[in-house]
Amino acid sequence: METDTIPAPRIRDAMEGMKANIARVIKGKNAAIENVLVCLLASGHALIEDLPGLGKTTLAYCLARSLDSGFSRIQFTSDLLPSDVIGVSIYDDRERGFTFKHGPVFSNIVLADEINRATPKTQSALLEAMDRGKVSQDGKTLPIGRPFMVVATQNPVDYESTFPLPESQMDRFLMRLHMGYPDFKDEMEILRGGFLRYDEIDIEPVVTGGELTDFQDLVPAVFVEDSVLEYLLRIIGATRTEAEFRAGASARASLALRTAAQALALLRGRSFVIPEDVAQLVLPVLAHRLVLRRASGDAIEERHAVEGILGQIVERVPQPV
Amino acid sequence: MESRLAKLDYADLYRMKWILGGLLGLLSLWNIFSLDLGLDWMVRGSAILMIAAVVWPPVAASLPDWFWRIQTPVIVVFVVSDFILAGGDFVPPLIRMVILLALLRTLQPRTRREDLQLVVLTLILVVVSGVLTLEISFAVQLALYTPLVMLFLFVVNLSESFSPEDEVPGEVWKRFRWQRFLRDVRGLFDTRLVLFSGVLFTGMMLSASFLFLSLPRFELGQTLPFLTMQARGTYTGFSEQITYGDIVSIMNDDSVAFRADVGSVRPRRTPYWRMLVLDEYTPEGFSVSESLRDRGRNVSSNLVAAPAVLRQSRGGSPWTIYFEGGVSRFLPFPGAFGHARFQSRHDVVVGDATGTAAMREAPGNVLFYQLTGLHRTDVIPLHEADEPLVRFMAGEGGASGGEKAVYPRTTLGLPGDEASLRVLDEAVGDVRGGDTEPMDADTFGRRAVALLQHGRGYSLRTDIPEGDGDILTRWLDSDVAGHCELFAGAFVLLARRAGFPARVVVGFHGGDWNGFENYFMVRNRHAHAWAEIFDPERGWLHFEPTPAGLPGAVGQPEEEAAAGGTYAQADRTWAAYMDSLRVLWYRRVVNFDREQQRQLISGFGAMVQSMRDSVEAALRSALSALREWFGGPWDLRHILILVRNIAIAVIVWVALRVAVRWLSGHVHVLRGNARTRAKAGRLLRRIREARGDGKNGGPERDAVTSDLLQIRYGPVDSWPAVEPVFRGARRAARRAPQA
Repeated sequence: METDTIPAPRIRDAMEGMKANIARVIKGKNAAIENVLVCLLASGHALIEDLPGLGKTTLAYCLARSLDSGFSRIQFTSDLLPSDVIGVSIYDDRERGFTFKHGPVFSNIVLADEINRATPKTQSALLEAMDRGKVSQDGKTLPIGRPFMVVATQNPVDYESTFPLPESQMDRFLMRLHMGYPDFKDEMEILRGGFLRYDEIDIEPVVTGGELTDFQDLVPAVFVEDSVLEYLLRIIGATRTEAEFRAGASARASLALRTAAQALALLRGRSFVIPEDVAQLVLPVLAHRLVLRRASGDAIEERHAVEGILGQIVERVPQPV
Repeated sequence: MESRLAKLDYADLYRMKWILGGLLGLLSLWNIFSLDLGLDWMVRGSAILMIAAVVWPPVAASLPDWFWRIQTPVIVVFVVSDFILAGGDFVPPLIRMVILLALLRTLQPRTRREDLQLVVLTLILVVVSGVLTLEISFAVQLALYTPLVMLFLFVVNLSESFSPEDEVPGEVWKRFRWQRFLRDVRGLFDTRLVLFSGVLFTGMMLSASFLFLSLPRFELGQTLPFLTMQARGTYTGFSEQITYGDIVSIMNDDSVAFRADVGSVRPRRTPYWRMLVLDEYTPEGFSVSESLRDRGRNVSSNLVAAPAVLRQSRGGSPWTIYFEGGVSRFLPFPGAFGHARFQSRHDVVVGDATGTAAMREAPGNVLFYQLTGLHRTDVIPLHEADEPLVRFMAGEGGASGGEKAVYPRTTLGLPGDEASLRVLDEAVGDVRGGDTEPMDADTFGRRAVALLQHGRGYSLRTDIPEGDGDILTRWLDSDVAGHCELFAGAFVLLARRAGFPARVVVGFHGGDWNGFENYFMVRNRHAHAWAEIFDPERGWLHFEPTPAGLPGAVGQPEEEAAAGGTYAQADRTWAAYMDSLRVLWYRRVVNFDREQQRQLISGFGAMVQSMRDSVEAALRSALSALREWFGGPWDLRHILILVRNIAIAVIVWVALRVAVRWLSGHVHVLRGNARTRAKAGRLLRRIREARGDGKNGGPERDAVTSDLLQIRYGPVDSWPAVEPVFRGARRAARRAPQA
């Protein structure tokens, strides 16, 4: 594919517009915002894992509003059924037959709030939709449409009556993100602004869904030079030989890292990937796919340990010159 | 950040070090071969082992341990016995010792200390052999040695950065392949860097050559007395006491004794190179009498003047002699001369009475001297020392050359025994042929030569009949063939018996004419003996009693002159060509006096000046033409020409710009994309390091880094013009610290 036809600067400008739009509401979380946008560009899904009240839902909401596209929110609970997510066929008297009533998953940005509270059955229904971008119902396959991005959230502390996502399903998320507590200054800003209900958030869309799908289609065309691919593979290889991990990153993980790096390059207005893109994305793309050999039982502690080891790997593996 | 050099591991550096070390060793032996060190097998063997060490490193590296264990005692024994056996001559064993040590250092796994030792040892060999031989190859050797040793030291330094536990010399050669090694080495070199250092080195060599030309010359070999070792070429038998057969033994040696620049035109007659005049008869042969030796005038100067009588002559262009070291202390002269000019001050013993000169000792290496005022006749003019002979010939002196005679009466000495005198008397009678009239020296000489050559052949091996009396008279009495010494000696005895003072002269006759550079290559096999007979009117007349046309023999000068100088063909062989290079070197670099040097430098200055003048004149004329043109009448044609010229200039300028831009955009095609990427990467690193950016810091701070990133990681078809980006990057890297 001709790479010099990629309008990288235009994509950068559009995404910068989205970023600025979201940053007006989510203060001081530029890294998280950027990562969410990378996910969006890379046609991936994001899992935001953090404590309640740190702006997970707001971030997903702002993302959807910045994009001129549909948004739906599913609050996951233990009694949520798959049909509550993907929809259900009901008998239509006028039609004299069953018609499919689309569930909330048929949207462009889907916020799956507290995904770990639903039963594995419901989770897997969503995850299948995420993976394929389609829903199978009554022997029919229904496309969800594009753009499609699931932003799932989960609380890493409160495990009461939850069903933690198994590794295989964690792998479906392109990134796992953290919001973290806001800085003093940023929180001052938030306080000054007063609490806003979602409906009161005044954000105008800056990118249309059609534009975004065009951008997404260009991501695979972003050029990755061999030395950068080697660098990426060396990092992946290092996770596989790392004694602390129960298993290294999968081939899907390396594909995910490449795609995310391509999206980040585009976000920065480049039509090619540089090693720094890869290095920056190692933590958000790989951390949730790796499991420590000695589990401590504390999710946050484990997360920090995994991220620490990954940080060391990034430091250790030499970048191409 | 991964550097390209990090791909070089210790094994690579070790291999480079090894091979460079072997090459250094080989290079240092280059000139050693032209020294007469003795023990040639050792030098040759060392060279072969060094070649083996370079070509098959794994074999050389796998020498068994016991070899290294026994090497120290073996070397000690060898060196000590070598010094003892060499007697007082300590230079050859010293050089042999250095060669041996250098060989061991090239064969053994070396640590840093041993690497440096190798450098010192090879440097000693290069300098010593260069100073001793003064050959043109010394310059070539130095020009090769210098960059090689720099590279070697660079690699040694690089390999220092590896920790000692990396050192596994045995492992290094296990999977060694020349092809792969050369490819890796090739990958290391940055073409631009290599070119740049090549240009720098050439510039340095050129400026060094200029300095060399402009500095006053001095003879290193003569200045450092311990270096006066004999260069190759053998000691000849020329001494003040020559016994029969000495000259013949010299003739067995084919090496060049000296070279003579006689101007570009070959002389019409073959020169006789006089070295020694033997006046005194002894039963063993002729020798220089003590009285003649005492007459020697000691001169310590760079200019030796002959007696006033000779200096009056202003004959032709000067001749320059390049006298090889170790041949003899007696210097060859092609007849009587006015002045002999040396390059520097020398202690010379001048024999005014005989027209010869000698050094105090045989020069250790090539000696250059120039002769002016040459007498192109066969006569050595009369000298005041010959006064007693003039009186004797006039019948006033009376006394013949007895036992205690002093020069010049020694030139009348004869064998004391009756048998010999009888033979001589008979022969003199034959020469006179019953003619009782007084005969002049010239006539007698011609007749004596004819008598001696009549029915007698030339041979280097003679069977002189046993018997009483002098060996020469016994030979004269027989009809066996003889060689130059016998002919000359017998001639002298005949002349003396007939009352003419006569003496034997030894030296060289002729030489091979080098057809490439037009000079004589006089070899030891051209050694010769002839005679001079005294004429009270003219002086000492040259006579050639040896018959011509035979191997080693020479023709009569008159015959050669008549034949238009068609003696031996000019030598145009490959060896002669190589020899001519040496003379070129002597002529251009070594052998010129201050005046020539001044001329050379002033010539260089004049050339620069004239170039400046001509450029200035061209500019002036162009300017005045332009002024004139603009000053001319402005009609339509004038304006059209102006417009046309401006248009041409603009088109050319635009075309150049386009060409430059296109070229700079396509240079990477020539370089290869991978190398261009690598270069962009290096520049990127430089900029980041200069700016103090962290490992992942500031990838796209400005246009330059963004362009570099594009070249380094972007697709080739999206690259910006490569060269301008690189230029900008270099500027940015330089400016960065101030930024």
